[in-house]
Amino acid sequence: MVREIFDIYNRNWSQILIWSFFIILPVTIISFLSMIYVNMSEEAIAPEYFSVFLIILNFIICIPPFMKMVIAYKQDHDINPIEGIIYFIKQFGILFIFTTIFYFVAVIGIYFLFIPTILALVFLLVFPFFSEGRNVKEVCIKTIHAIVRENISLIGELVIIFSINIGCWVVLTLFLSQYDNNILAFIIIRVLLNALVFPFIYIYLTLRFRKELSNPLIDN
Amino acid sequence: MFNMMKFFQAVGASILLTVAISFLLGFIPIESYGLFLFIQTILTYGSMGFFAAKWNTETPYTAAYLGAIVITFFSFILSHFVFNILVFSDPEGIGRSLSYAVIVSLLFAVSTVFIRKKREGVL
Repeated sequence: MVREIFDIYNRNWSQILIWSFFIILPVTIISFLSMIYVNMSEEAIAPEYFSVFLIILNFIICIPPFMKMVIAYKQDHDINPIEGIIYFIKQFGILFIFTTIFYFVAVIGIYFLFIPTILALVFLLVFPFFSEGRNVKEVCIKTIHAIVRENISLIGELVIIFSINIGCWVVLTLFLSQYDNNILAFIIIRVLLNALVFPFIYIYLTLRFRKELSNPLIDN
Repeated sequence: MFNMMKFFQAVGASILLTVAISFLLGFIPIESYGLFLFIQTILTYGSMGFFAAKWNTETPYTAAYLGAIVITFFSFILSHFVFNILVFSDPEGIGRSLSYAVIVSLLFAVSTVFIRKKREGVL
């Protein structure tokens, strides 16, 4: 598995570089600046919930071009960087709306012994890899099939992804804590971290969830 | 037939365009607050109507109407739960913003459909 991930990464590094610059960088900068803005505001009720929402959104909405790249690689095709950016723009809406709804469910689920929270987070982890279906019902059915197939190990995936993010971030902030910092330096470090870590996670998760890679990608 | 995926696409493209252009507009010092809000309204709901008419060719007006309602609802939710602005205690303001959103969105949808028909030579 690891060898395959590095193989895909090496074959497509130019596209990944371009997408890191044109997708991951602006998305990370805008989400973290809005996080800082909400945290500095006096009237905000619970800025922590909004910050976590933006971190999850930041992870989810960068998925589509990388997923398309892996599927095209599996079918011996090559993908144009512009094509990936257009695909990102087309997939943004459904990812944004579903993430908002299910994050709301996850926050409300805190009062119900965290059971809806875990289910909603698992759904949020799986559904971006099936979001290019023909209608909403198909997306939900495919996602639920994948959740039933993978079952309990999905919670392990969640733990691994959160640990990688938090661990790398803690190490970098410890490294930087002795220097004289400002917001820009922290955001640049965060962008570098996201651009380094995210493509590997996306490639791994795509290989994991899209078992039936022989199906052609539905282009809408 | 109303296509839900294309509708989500239009909403997403509209939000993305609004976020990107507002971020760039923040660097320009605009003195007038009303002008800024006017640009934002035209940008968000106008692009919503345009994309709805472009991608949902069979039911452009329904898509434009629903999209404007959905985006306005998102902004209400954001201001209520994140910034603690008590928007739901002001029904007149809610009615005003909803009607402006729907009017701008439908106007752009109508003009887009009109231009497309003119170009195809139907009219």
